[in-house]
Amino acid sequence: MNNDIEKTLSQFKLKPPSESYFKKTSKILKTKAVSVPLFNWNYLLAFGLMLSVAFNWYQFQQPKITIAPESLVANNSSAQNSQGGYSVIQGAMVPYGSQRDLIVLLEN
Amino acid sequence: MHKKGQSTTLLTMRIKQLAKIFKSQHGRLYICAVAITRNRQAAEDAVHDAVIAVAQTSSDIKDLKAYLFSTVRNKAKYACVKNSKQQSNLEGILLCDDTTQQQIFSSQLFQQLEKLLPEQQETIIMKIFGGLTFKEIALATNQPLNTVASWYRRGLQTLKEKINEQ
Repeated sequence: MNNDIEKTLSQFKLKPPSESYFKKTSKILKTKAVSVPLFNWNYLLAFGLMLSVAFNWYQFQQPKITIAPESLVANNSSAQNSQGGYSVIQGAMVPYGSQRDLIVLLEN
Repeated sequence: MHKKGQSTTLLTMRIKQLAKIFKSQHGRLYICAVAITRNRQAAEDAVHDAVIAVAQTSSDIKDLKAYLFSTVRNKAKYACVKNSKQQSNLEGILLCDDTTQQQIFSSQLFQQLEKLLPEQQETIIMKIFGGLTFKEIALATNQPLNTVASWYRRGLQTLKEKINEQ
C-alpha cells in the first residue's frame, strides 16, 4: 500500500517557478558585487598622512644651527629675527621647540 | 581601517561564491521553500530575501551553502506566519493531469498529507514532488540522512493508515 501511495503521489510534480525567479535574484547579486567599492578612500588618506609625517620628519632631520653672534653669546639671551624665536644655548642659535640636541660650541 | 578594507574583500568574495551557489542550487532552494509555504510566489520571495540577507550579513560563515538553505527555510517559515491568509495548498503548487477517479483519491491523499507532522510533509513534498534525494533533503534541512529517511517512511506509513481508515 505504501508503494501505491508513493506511486499515486509521484504522478504529481511541482509547478516550476516563474520565469523571473532566477533572473531577479541573479541580477541583484550582480548589482551587489559591482556596488562593493574596489578602492577605499581611507587608503588614500592614510597614504597622505604617511607622506606628510615622512616629509616633516625629513625636514626636522636637517640641521639648522647658526653660529650666534658674540653679543648674544655674551649675554646668553634670546633673539628675535625674521625666522621666529631663537634661544641661545652654549653659543648656538637653536629654534624654539626644536627636538634636535646638536649644539655647536663657540671657541673663543 | 584595515578591518574595513579586509571585510570589503571578504564581502566581494562571498557575493561571488553566493552567485555560484545560487546558479547551481536555485531549483532545490525553490523546492525547499515551496515545501514550507505551499505558495509559489511566497516561495520565490523567500528565496530572494534569503539570498539578499546572506549577501548582506557580516557574520563569519563556514558553510555558505548550508547557511543559505537554512536562511531560505527560515524566511519561508516567516512568510507562512506573516501571510497565513494567503492561499496555500498542495493543489496550488502541483501539476496534475489525471482522471476523475484518480483525482478523488489524490484529493483524499492530499487532505491526509496536510495533517501529517510538518517535517514529514516537507520531506514527502521534497522527495516525491520535488524529486530531491535523501542526501539533498538532509543538506537542505540540516538533518542527518537517517532522520530524513525516517520522516519519509513514517509519513507514508501514517498516510497509509489514514487512507485505510476511510
